[in-house]
Amino acid sequence: MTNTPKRGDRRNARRLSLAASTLTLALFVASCGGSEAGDSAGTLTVGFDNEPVTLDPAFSSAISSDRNVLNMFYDTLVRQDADGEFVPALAEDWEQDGDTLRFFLREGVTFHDGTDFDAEAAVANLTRVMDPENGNTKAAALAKVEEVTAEGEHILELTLSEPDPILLVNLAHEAGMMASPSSLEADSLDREPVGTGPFTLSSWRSNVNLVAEANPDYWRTDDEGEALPRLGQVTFDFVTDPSTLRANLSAGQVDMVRVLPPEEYLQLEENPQVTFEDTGVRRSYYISINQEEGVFENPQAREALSLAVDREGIGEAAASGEYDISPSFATEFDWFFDESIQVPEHDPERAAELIEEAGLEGEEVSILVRRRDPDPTIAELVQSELNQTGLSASVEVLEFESLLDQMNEGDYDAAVMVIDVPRLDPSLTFDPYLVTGAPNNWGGISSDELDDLLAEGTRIEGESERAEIYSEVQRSIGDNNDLVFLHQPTAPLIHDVDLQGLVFNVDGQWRLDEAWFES
Amino acid sequence: MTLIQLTTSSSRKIAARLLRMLLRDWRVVFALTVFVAIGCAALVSPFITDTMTATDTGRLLRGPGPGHLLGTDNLGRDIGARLVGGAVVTVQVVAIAVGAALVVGTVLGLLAGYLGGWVDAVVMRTVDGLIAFPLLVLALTIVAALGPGVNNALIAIAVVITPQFARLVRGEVLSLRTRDWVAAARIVGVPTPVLLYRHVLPHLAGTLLVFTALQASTAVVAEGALSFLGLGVQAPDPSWGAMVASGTNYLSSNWALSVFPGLALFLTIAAFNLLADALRDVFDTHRTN
Repeated sequence: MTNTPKRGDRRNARRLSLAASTLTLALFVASCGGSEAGDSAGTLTVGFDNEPVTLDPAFSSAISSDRNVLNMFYDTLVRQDADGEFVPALAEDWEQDGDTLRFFLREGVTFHDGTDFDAEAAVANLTRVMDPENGNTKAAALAKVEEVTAEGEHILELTLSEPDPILLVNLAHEAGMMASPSSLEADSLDREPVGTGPFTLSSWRSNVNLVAEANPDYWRTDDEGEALPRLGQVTFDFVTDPSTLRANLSAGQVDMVRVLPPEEYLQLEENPQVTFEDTGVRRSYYISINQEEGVFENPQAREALSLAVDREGIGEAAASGEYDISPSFATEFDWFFDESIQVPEHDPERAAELIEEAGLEGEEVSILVRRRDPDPTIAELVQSELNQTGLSASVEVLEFESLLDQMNEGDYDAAVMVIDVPRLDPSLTFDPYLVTGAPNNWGGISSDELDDLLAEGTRIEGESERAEIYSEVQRSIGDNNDLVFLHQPTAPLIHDVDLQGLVFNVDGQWRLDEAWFES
Repeated sequence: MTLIQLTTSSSRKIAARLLRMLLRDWRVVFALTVFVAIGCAALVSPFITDTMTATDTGRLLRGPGPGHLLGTDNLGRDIGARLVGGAVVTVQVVAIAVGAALVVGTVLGLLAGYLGGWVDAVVMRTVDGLIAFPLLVLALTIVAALGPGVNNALIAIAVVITPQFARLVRGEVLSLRTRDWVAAARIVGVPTPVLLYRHVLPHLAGTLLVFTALQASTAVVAEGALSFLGLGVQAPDPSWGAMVASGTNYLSSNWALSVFPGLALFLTIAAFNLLADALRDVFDTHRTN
């Protein structure tokens, strides 16, 4: 970590970026005159609130919704279906032999730029991810791979340093996405994805939309041997405002919306043209707490925060009653969900006592939150509840990038955040938020106990053994109030009733290669 | 001596006549009623801060009815109490932001118009530069640069309105400075500040009064817009603009969230505009007489 920069510098930088984003917003509002969807010609328009920062899979963020877009352009060696089973993709078959994992690659597959997909190309992709020098975000996924070699034109061999229970999981997602070797050299994937996927990028205008055309040379066919993809064109309209998304959906301007808060989607229930699909995705709201400095450095203050929040009240107010309560990121569908772990009871009196005991009455606390409904509502409720404990809380509503900047600087006390769950594996759910120094561990959680447990979780095999470890992890977070978990709104995928053939991944994210419109 | 007495008594008479004319005008009566209501609300609001910020998830989005006369918002807060609290910001905008713009803008305009030369050039080029931006865009940029918050919103509103006053006053002064009584005062050696204050400013009073009322309505609109965009008053403190904004998500479940604060903004802005209209009529009559 760098030495603490001057507070003024940070503030100025933030203000400038806010000024810039306000101007951008003004320009954006001026420029988004009309976007329309012509369903008849096999054109799908998706209302999408989380625009990806980059389309280079090796450098993409941990945001699982990025995968919806990346899956358009890239394929992986294997796919993991909705039940968690591995199915062939660019690799037709694979075998594990001690420390060696061998993939037999599909022949006759070409990248969007016309070059052939072969073992050399796969080696180039995996070597790039394994390279610690280039700063990619997926290196940890292949940490246990020692060597990648081409053992023939279509045979790929991975030599492992030790068994890795989640290597195939990782290879089935961003870390294993295959891009054309020439674009790897040009380092141009962030704006120009060149993979083997079902669609090719046609245009991408930041804050507006992304248009993709069907890849006529796509290697996959459906069960009847018909060519895929079936859609001719897919457009992602980048809109963050939920009520705009809802309005666009009911007006038929978009055919599908990634996610909407309950108070918006409940308004669509009567609409016969719209259908809901609960893919098991929950949005897990939590409070990230800065335990390195400020009020919440004190464990008693963290406990007070956990006791002060009325999780059910927040769920009623911010999710119109469509929510679950869970003691951690885990949902009740997860195999590592442990129902013996208690959710803290709402106890404002005890919270106030704790604040008094700690001598923190009247101390100021800032709560950061993203400017996207209903998040500010949640922050305001937390603020009101904290004020009742004797603290003096304020809410700062920020654009997402400024919010992350400020959290990365450690310049906050608490932040209302949300992630999509389930993730592919509990290690991906917990590690980025809890391991000492991990990218999303903004609050500075640093516990040897947690680090050891989480390392153990990626080492041992067997679901029940791992489940035990992860329930230890969840107990530890709860006991130390490292994070405060709020409610988990249900997040059904909402789309036009005529849209068929959506394929879901194990993490509830979707693929469009088999999608089509029933006319 | 007699001459001076005569002028004072006749100006008193004129003032009394103007006041009678104004009070017979329904627009003035309407405006005063609205102002008194806002003033009372602002005075009451420090005593009900707890009521206006107390959330209660057991009473979300209630419609108007007994207990909560105007209903409750998406966090279970009393809309009526928040409406009363929002009046404080409106009073601040008019008293502080418009007040500061009036004083600073008038002084700059007087100096630029009367002194001319480089003072005029510097002041007026700056004013032109500021006026070139649409008012709201400039205010947004200033607040975004300073950081969101009610104080910065007041600063931004003052900054965008000041040039309007400066330009108006300078124009008037340019025509007044060549008048005989100004020249006479200058020749007998009246110091410039006194001259401007005693012999120029009084002739601007009518115009400034009308213009201030108009600018006050612009300022209230600007504050509403800034708060609507989340750059003005910060939660949980109430502001009418922010209340309208948060209510837009719940229009189908509780119209009261947006409608009442919207109505409050509408009445305030209408009051200032009608007052300005009425004042202009009166001062025009006076002039033609």
